[in-house]
Formats: sequence, C-alpha cells, structure tokens
Amino acid sequence: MFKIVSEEISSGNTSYQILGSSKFTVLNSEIAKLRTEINPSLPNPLTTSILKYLDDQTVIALQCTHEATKDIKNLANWGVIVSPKHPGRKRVSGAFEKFKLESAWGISPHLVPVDSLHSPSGIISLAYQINGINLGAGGFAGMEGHALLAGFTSLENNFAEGLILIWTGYREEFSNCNLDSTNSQILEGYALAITKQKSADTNKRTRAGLNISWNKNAKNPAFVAPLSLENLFQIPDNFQTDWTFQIAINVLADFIPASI
Amino acid sequence: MDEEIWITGVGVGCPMGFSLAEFSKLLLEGKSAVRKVELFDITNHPSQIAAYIDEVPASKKIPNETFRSRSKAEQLYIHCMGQAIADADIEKELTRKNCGLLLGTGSDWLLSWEENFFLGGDNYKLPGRETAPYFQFAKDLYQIEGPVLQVSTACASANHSLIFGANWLKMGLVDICIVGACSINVTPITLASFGNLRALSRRNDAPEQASRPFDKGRDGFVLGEGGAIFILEKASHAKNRRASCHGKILGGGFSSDAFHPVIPNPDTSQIEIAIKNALNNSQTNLDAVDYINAHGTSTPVGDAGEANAIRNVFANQFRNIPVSSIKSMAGHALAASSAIEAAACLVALQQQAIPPTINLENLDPACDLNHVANTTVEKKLKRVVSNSFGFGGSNSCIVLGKA
Repeated sequence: MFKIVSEEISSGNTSYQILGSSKFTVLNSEIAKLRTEINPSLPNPLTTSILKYLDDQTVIALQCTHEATKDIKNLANWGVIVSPKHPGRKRVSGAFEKFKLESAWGISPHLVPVDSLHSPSGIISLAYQINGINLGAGGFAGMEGHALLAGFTSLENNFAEGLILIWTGYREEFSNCNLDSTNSQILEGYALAITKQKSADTNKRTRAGLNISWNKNAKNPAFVAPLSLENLFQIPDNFQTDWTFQIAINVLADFIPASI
Repeated sequence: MDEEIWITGVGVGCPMGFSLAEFSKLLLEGKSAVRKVELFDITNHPSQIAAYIDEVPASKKIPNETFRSRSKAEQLYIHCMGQAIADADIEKELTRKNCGLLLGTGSDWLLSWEENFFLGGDNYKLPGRETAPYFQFAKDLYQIEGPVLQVSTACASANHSLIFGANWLKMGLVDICIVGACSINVTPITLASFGNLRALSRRNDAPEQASRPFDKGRDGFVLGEGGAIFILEKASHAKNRRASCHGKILGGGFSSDAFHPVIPNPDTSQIEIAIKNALNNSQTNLDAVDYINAHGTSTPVGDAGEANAIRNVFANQFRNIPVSSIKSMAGHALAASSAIEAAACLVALQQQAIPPTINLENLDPACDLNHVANTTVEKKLKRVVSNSFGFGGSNSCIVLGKA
C-alpha cells in the first residue's frame, strides 16, 4: 500500500545498508521488569541511580538498540538518533502534584535530564559507549520523519560511521485515557542500524537497504504515506518487499529488500 | 571545494536585546542581564536569579491581540523568525518548498504542559492534548513549506541546527534554510529542577555577579532564555539576489562523551575530538582561529574541562587565542544558548571586537587560557570558533567566518 513513487524525486539520492532492525512492544505494566532485565545485557550497564529514573521510552529504546545492534561489534564511531513521542508524562504528572504541595522543594532534579528530547539518545550513547553524534529528533506525534532527516544529514556529512535510529511511543497516546488506567497501554519501539552503502554493493545487496531521495524543486508533494511508528511496524522483519514513506515534503525513504 | 554558506539574515530576541544592534551594544559594553526573578513566587527556589524576557515585542505580521494570545515561546519564534526573514529580505521566497526549517529545541511539550498547569489545566494528564511544537505557529505564519527538522542535544541544540542547515544547502536539499533556536526557560518548574540539581548559582544577593565563567568563585550557571534565528544560503544564491552577508558558516564537528547524563567527563578527549572535527571540517588551521566563544557556563567542573580541552587542542598556540563566555552576561539559554552565541560571534566578526567574560576577577588556575576578561578587546577577526556542550554528553563546535 505504500509503494507509490509518484514523481521526480531524483535531485539527490543516497543509499544505506540495514545492518539490523528490531521492533518491540511492552505493556505499561511490564516496564518495571524490563527496566531491570535490560541492564545486564548492556555493554556499559547503567548505575542504579541512572536506571531507576529513566523514562519508559528510554527503556524500550535500550531494548530496541540491543536487538538491532547484536551483530555489530564496535559502535564507538557510530551515532544514535531517537525520536520519542513526548516522553516524561508520568514524572511530570507527579512533579506538578508535588509542586502544588511543596513548591520548588518538591521538584526532582532528574526532571530535565531524563525527560527531555535529548535524553533517550544520551542514555543509549552512554550504555553502548557510542562517541559519535547523539541527538533527539521530532518529539511530537507526526514528527517521526525527523529522525530520518537528521540521520541521513549525519551520514552524508560523515558525522558518524553508522547510525542507530529509534522511534518510540505509546500506541494509544492519542486516546483519551488518563494516567490511572495506563497499565494496559502498549509502549512501542522500532530501531534500525544503518551504514552508508558502499558503491560496489549497490547491485548485489546482501542486506536490505534504505534509499533516501529528494528533489528540492518537486512541484507537488509526493503522494506517499508518512513515516510513522505505526507504519514502520507494518514492515516485515525481513524487508522482503519495497516500502516507501514520505519523510518531508520533498524527501522519500524507500526500504528495499536484499537482492540476493 | 564546497561553496560558501552565507548567513544573510539574523533575528535576535533575548534579555540583552531584541535586535542584533541592541544585543551588540550591551554585549560589547559588558552589561549583565541577570536579575532577581519577578515572574513568579521564588520562595523555596535555591536559585532565585535569571536573565529573562519580560515581554516579546509585538509583531507587525499579525494583530497584537492574536500575538499576545500565543505563548511567550511562540511569540519569540515569531519575533526572531520575522526579524531574520525581513533582514534577509526573503519573505517572497518562502512559499517555495526549497526553503527548509531546522531548529534546535529542548522539550516543548514539558513547557507547554507546565504553562497549561499554571493556568489551571491538566493537559499533562491527557494524551492527545499536546500542542504543536512552539515553532509551528511561526512556520505557518510565514508559510514555510520545505523540509522541517527539530533536533535536540540539550544545550548544544542550536549548534547542531546551524551545522545541519549548512549541510542541507551543500547537499542540495534546499536553497534557503532557516536555522537557530528559541527557548523560554525561566519557569517555576525549570528553575526548581535545575536548582535542585545544584547546577545553578545561588549568589542570589548579587545577581549581576552570579555568572562568572572561569572565575575561582563560580558556583553554577544562571538560567537564561531567548533565541536567535538565522537565514542561510549558498553564496551563489545570495549573490544572485544581491543579499548581504553577515558572516559564513565554515564547518562544524560533534562527539559524545558517553560518560554520564549530566556530569561532564573529566577526560576531555571527546570535547577535543568535536573541536578538531570542526577545524578539519572547516579546513581551519590552529593558527587561523582568532577567537573562541566558549561554552563557559560558570559551573566548576564544566569550565575547567573546557579550558583543558582548549589547551590540549591548541597546544602551544592556546595563549594566542582570545577566549570569552557571553553566558557571564546573558545567562545560559539552554537549547538556544548556541544560537545566541552564534549571534555574538557575528557581532564580533562584524565589529572586529571580542565581547568579554564579565565577573572574571580571580581566574581559576584550572581554567588558564587567554581570557578576554571584563572589557571588550578590539582585534582583527576572520575565523571564530563557538563551543557548545549539552546534557547527554553531546559536544559540538562550529566555525564561523567573516563576511
């Protein structure tokens, strides 16, 4: 349903190899367990004082990173970009209630460091000892394409050898349920580990690829589904067919199966 | 060789002024904008001072009533973006899709929840009530149709937006790119959170002396706010429409500490890598750097680390390169700090004068550098470097050139 390459998106084009991917869902009620289970598997396990304050979306981002990078030996020169959807709701809710009672004394010093847009990527860079670029992108629902825009800008300009791109969010973020009934809510995460495609590999891909194409003079917006967490979840794990998404008004992302 | 990237428009809004000219005047006079917070009840706040904006000037683009109905952060984007667009004279270009918008941010939703909470609302409890990011209203107002990207590396965010924007132009993704950041930070929750983190100065009885980067008596940063927006174009595009050039983006570099979510790594090798990457990327020799605009937040650990990294990168040349931190006057505007500091670098390049680090009375030996202390210094400047580092271990460095 997304294979509609409509017009002259061709003034720029770049390809990446997908070295790993993962998708993960967890019930809100299971996050506490995941929080402790994930830590021993991290290359640089987090201290308890860091681990216990992580936002839920950072926890699932760590899990997704673990799966997507399991075949990659050295991530030191890689980068990580995370696009969460307004993290921090739980902690902020508590903070506001405490502020009512205790004013400034009730506010956690962890609020800004762990619940901001930059927080998940910072934690992943720490846990995986990634010294390349780490940043948050987007942050609001509907802005998931920002991670890919930031990602291909980084790779095209050699700001990292490879990139872990991660999208996280609650599936029912837009439903009108309040915090008292969130235990059945589903938290989702999707990750890709990509590197620049070597030119010699172009016609004989042993791995699935991601092609980004753009045309700054495109006359009409391409009629293609937007890149979103929901749409990413529809891609089969083995990328056996082409999937195309729009990531900006004149930029498309094509997921391409391996050719052999 | 890549074509030059020109800055053809600048919009500034911060406690030191609402235009580049106003900002330039206070900056070179060495005037502090830090004062006691009077925006809300500061009882129980460990830090009770900040450099903050009382009111954003009204915009001619929309009726005053509409302007004032928007949040202060949205007003600031309208002001800065409008000023930059007018300065570059590009409004007629903006309905085309080849104009991109690439901004640095912190976490708009946290601030919008807080704003709503203090108005008696409960948006924070109810998914789906998130408002749009703060730049959205200005984007729609100016009908910007090209690619949009919002990035966050905490306090280094704006440097990333400037460097990414320059690269979008080089890649041919857009012909014009609007970059920078605006950030309203002086709010009850943000002041309390950073205060309780013990990151802020508690020199509450002497606000103007509280931000003192590299000084022995420094005790934390002073919260600031504001923003700066820039219009970027390739030189050929700018020349074709006879646009003037404020300065050039020559390159940038990044790295991550991978050390701690908040604490800077005492091993400064990753900061050094970010600076070296920026120098390599901009083809700048060590001896070609005429000024370093330091991140210099006025925190004990951060300032000493940055000074160490500068000494290591520039080796025996470090004494020849003047260094200053404008956070001594403007406070720390978090996600927007490197945008305001890029504007300060343009002022330095245009005026051929280096703004000082004020309150630098008793230099910390761990911060030994060629400091421009307390008074502006005139100097021929062609290439300047601006460092910015953020929570999450993000390090960034941008190199700017004279027009």
